[in-house]
Amino acid sequence: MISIQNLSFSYPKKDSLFHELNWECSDGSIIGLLGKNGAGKSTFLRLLSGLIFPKNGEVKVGLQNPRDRQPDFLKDIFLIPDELAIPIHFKVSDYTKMMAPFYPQFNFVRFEMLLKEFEIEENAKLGDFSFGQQKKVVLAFGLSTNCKLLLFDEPTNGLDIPSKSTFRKAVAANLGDQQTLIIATHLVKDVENLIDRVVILGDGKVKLDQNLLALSDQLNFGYAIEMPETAIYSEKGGVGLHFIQTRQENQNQSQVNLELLFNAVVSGAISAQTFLNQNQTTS
Amino acid sequence: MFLLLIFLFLYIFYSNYQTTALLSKYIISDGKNIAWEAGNYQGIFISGIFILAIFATGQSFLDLREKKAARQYLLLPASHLEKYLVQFLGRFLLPLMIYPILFWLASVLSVGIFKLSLLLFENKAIDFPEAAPFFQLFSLPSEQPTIIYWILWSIFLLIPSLMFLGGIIFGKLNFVLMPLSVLLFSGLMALSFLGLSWILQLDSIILGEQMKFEVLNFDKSEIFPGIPLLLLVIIVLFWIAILLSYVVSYYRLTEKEA
Repeated sequence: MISIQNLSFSYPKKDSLFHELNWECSDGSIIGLLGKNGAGKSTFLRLLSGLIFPKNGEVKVGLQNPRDRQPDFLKDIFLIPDELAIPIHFKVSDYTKMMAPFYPQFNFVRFEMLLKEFEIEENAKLGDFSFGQQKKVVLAFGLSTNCKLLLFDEPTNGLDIPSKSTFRKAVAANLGDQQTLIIATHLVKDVENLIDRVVILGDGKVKLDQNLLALSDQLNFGYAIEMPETAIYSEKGGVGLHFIQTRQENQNQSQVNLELLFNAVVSGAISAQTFLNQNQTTS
Repeated sequence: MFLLLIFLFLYIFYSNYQTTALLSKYIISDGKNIAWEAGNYQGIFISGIFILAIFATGQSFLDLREKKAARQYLLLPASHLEKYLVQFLGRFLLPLMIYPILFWLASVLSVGIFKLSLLLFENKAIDFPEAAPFFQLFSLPSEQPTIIYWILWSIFLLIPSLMFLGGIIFGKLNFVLMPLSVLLFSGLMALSFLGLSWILQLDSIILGEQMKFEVLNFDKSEIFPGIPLLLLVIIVLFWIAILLSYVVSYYRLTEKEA
């Protein structure tokens, strides 16, 4: 379980990035971490991994404080940053031999299988790979570590279209019930059918934190030529309008349009309060 | 690479020096024997320690210099102590232990090559130059007071220790910034010493027409027989700095962000 209490953070000589941020998350979810550029998505992941320390407040991952960077904590967390640092003179197999022993639950069979799915040659040198191919190696490695907490920063950045699909399948097929995956991305479409929870960061706080099932239960995402009167938010798309409205009891559930939801939250049309109000109305 | 350079340097140095010596002895015949002796190694050996401190020990915590690599390094599932010890052993202890052995081997090899080349090309068998006697590399002339040994040993240890610390503080500019810091600190020490002299004796420093520049005598005010107070203070400060450099670098590692 991840627990963040009253987190405040700022980089030196910069405005505050997070202020009194609170967030909790139980084990076993795939979370999409969204936010505008500079909202602090990568910083959020680095705070969770213990690479940077909060100015105020507390971050807990399980019983551990990431700041301590204890080996027991580190062997159960795997961060894939947007910019990779891998030993380019090593072969994939050598890289695995060197790194895998640090992760006691590492699954070699799964790693080989994932490499095949990503079409990566195990005996090739990492330095001969493109950025996308290097990313595939690290993604395969990360998914094979069996770490309880996986933090992927822009994982589909640099992947070609087939690989993005392979990535989604690999995540869905290989993540255990007790594993938590947080994906920070601005490529919303890449993770739309993968995540089961969405967290949107903005203005130094968590602007929205909702389960996707709850979202599709409470909101209706549609497309119409004219904006419905009950629409909470809309934006132009082709000849008509994409809109979000409160879902009526007799309406079928619609698929959550993450991009539309993100824009609605960023514009302030939808907030955590929207859901609180809705719950109060229904009860 | 560094040690290879040392070897080459020694070899070339001997060759030239000894060739000159041989020429002067056998051709010019001025009677002077300026052959290379065992005691002549020490200067190069000590200089090598300082070079080693700058270019090997000063490269400590290399992974922390670049943000991308630092993230990988800091998240590697190992304790701070394990990561620290690897650096300490690999960048400090091992180079300082291997260096004297390789230096000695290089001297033996250099001398061997030199003698062999003379035998082959000039058909001369000679007794000199001597190879470096291993234990003599560390020894000082016996007439020196004990406190001088302490000062020299503390300097030998202080420089690599500070360079080790500098690796995690100054990063890639360590080889410039740490020596500069040491020079700055030494300058401040010297100035404070002058200041102290001036406070105790107002006319010790007079600048102008009658320029006078007298400082307190290092050798006086002995706290124990043969141990001047000022030198004792310097030794204590040096040893504290040696110990603190390891403590500070460890805590710096635990607090490192990337």
